[in-house]
Amino acid sequence: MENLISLGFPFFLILLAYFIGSHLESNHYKSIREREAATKDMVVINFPRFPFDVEIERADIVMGSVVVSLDYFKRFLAQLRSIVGGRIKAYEPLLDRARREAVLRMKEQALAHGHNTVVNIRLETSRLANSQRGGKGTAGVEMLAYGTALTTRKGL
Amino acid sequence: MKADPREPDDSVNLTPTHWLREATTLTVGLVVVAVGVFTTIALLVNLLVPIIPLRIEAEVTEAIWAEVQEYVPEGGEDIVVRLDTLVVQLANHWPDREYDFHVAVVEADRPNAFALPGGLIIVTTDLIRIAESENELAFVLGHELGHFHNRDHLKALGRGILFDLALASVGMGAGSMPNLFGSSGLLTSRRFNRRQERAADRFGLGLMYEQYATVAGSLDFFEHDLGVTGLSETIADFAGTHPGSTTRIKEMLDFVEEQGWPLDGELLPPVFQESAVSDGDEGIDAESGVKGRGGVQ
Repeated sequence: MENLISLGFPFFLILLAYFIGSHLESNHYKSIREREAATKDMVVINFPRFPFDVEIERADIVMGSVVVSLDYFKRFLAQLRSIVGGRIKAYEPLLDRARREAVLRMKEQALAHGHNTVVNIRLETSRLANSQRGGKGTAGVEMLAYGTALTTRKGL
Repeated sequence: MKADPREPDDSVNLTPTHWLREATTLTVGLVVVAVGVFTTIALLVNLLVPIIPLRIEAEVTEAIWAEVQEYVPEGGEDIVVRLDTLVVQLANHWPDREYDFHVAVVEADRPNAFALPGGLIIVTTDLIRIAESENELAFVLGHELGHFHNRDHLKALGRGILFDLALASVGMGAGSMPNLFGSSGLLTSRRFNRRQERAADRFGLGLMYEQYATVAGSLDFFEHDLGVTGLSETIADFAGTHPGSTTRIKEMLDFVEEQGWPLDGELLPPVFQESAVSDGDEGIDAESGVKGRGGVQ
């Protein structure tokens, strides 16, 4: 009986985490797509130098950062996958959302400052250690997007 | 050249997956593997245990004896002597035994007895308290002797160690969350445990018959549990690794009938309790019938 409870309770939590995590993910993707559509006219490129002849009015550094973590269900799925190997697909939506959210935040900052272009964009990732497990676990991942925001007088 | 901004294409970096289906496939697959690994380990241990020399068992007991001592109550030496005598009487009906058996009484508030490597049988004070006859306790001790006969304690130990090693080697050791494979292993081990318990019951009944020419009193321990505590946690625990009480009683009755052993007969008084009482100078616990000098209660 104790075994059944100890086996059943984590499964209940996993199922609960699946439904909650799916709902949150779906809402986040909805928000990302709407904001991407709203900012799609902004030019975001990763050229370190301008290959075009443009007249620059103002320049600024802009950045967007987001910290993400796995939910209980995806952590469980990733644990299972790490035993047999293969693509850890459970991580894909999480990192995809993090990248897109970070870029969106960077673009939104540039727009707020009145810029119309971001060049030399870079993406950085860093792991946040979990202090409860002696720094060995991962509490989450930070995704940072940064670049040089420009206000160009002549369009690219 | 002109920049042509577009919305990100979210089909590139995402693999279309039904998460629940993936979780189910991986879980079922790995549970099947875990059960297979555990079964293989158990069969391997069953083959290896008979060739482990007894002196290694004795060393294991020596290592854990200090820990056991912490739970041994003061006084009650007479009871241990009586129980030792009873065990030797029973073990005399097992002629080719290699063990030198000893009994230790430990303080605990639930009736239990278990076999430790090297020939040590641990009996709890509560088991002595509830036993109403020598026959009843003799069955429990005979059952433990059955475990020694089949060297079950080593098999259980070996299975536990090897399976923990197997789990740790894939990063699913103690503390991993959730310990799905540990639970699968435990559920698989029940099958082996129950088989061992049945064999020990039969061995214990055989010793009882040899000693008393009857197996009367052998089922009293289970009736105590049901009568005194109902479907208590004691039973729930018992049912965890042992066959359920109802099934177990039925199997024992079938076996006794098959062997043609009598189930009725005179029950001997619980002399292990009386001997403690006669030596005591601090009175008798009216409810338990044993002395209250911090010994067996």
